[in-house]
Amino acid sequence: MDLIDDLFRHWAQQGYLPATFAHDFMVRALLAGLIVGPLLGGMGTMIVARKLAFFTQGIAHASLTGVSLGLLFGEPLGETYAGLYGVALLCALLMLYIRNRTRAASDTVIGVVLAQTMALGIVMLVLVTKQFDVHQIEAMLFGSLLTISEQDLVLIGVIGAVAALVLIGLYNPFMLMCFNPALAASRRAHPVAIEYLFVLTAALVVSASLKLIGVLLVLALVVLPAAAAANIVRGLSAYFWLSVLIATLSMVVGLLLASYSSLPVGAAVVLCASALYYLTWLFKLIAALPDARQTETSAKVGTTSSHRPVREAPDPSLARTAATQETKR
Amino acid sequence: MSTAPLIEIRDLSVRRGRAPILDDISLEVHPGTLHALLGPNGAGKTTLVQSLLGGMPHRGSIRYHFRKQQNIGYVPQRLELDPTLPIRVQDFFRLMMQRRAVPLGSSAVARTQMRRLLALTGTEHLEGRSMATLSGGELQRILLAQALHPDPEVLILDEPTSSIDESGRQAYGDLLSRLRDAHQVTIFMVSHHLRWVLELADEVSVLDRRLIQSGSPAEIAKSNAIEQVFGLAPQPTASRGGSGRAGVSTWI
Repeated sequence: MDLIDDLFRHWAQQGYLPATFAHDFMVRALLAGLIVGPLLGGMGTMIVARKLAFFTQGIAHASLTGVSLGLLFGEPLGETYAGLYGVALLCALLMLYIRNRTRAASDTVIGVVLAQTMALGIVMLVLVTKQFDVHQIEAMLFGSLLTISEQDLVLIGVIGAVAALVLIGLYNPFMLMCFNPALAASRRAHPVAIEYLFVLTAALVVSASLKLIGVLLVLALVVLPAAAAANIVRGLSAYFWLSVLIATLSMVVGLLLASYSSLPVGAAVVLCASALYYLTWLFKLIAALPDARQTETSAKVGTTSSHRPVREAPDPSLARTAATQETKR
Repeated sequence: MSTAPLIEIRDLSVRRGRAPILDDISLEVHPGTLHALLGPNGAGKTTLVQSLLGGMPHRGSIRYHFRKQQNIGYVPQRLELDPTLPIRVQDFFRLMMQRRAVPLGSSAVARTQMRRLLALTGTEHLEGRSMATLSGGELQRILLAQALHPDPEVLILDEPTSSIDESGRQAYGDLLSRLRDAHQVTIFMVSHHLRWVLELADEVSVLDRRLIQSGSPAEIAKSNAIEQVFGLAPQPTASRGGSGRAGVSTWI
């Protein structure tokens, strides 16, 4: 790690990188961002497809409770790993189990667990803040450049590597399951196992991102890049990679913005992702303009010449089959 | 039918809580036939399909006596398609036909196989189309195409024509007949289109939580099974000339 810090410091002094990278904490934040940014971007396309965005928020809120619980049980401040990851994984399993075992809507189940963990978290925060400075907990809510330790970075690296392998391995059956679980099952996939594995992986990635992005805004970095990518691409592959690119870009630019200002990292990163979302939305609008004009012209021609609505061209293969049938008769 | 069955269902029962969804069903599907399952809404047709696919806990036994490929192709009734999700027909096939995760690139073998399947179902022109923009008929033929890989010995179709109009349904029926005859695929199909099923199928089973009757379309048409289940009476008009089966009445 010292070697990497020295390298970044050297590049910052030489002017190849912004001067802010002369600080070790900034290098650690950037490296952590370069791991969780692409992961959240890629995972976001899967989360949006499975309609699990609210679920992500539930996990993030549970993590806050986990941190408070870790502190209460004596874990050192900034190293509440057992509390953070333990409670996040437990709540992820609980939400999925309840959803699969009851007929309640997914949003209802997540809402109930989210509200309960939030309430529990607030109660425990009150107890915890009798022992610790509340500002140290605030970093969990909004994200911070300063809180990523070397130990955190190693853990984020390990989680990142495992999560990347799992997500790539699960991608095809998981996406298929989003469209029809029975279809995925007929392809020898196991929808229930796939969903549990995905949700546990998502819980780990979301928890690993919290110190940097914060509990309140991590959802945005899952949803915004995927939504921005969906505005301008047509295929699944382009969708995935553009979402990864947008999340990574937002992360790097957001970190730089936060380092030059007093903005919380989470807010800066999410504002960058929002700007990119509106940019892609603008592209989408501009790209749709010629089509809209063409449709308008066709409709006018259709109305004035024939007074009948424009009909969709028949499917050629259906026409062929129908013709064959007629001939037979 | 004297041949050994390909699918053998014995004493199949499914319950949800205390409520019976399927009650003591026993039926056989013979190789190379198109076996249709008729029944009203809530009759347990989809539950039976899920049981056949192994996705529904049940009592009783379901046995497949495969002779060749040992593959089951499944055509679902519909897909949960988010219209904003940028997925094309070719992406959908790549999800199913290649091991490599779709974002990591496409496999040439999968591409060749996809084009063969699309050609089989007359949907080559849809390869680059967004899944969300397909019509009901186009989507059903795409779903049928995917079920043909790997070469299935049995095709299980769950209400494939529920969102297709009359002409599309006839074309779809012709496609199924071609698959049965040319590729010796056994087809088990759930439907509620009475007349279409009675014209198309080799064997028909009528279900309403329990098996009401099983037999040839002519036998089913003559019996009171459909009247009992759907509350409909047969019209004493002649069957459709040529394409219909002898003795099959027209049902309203």
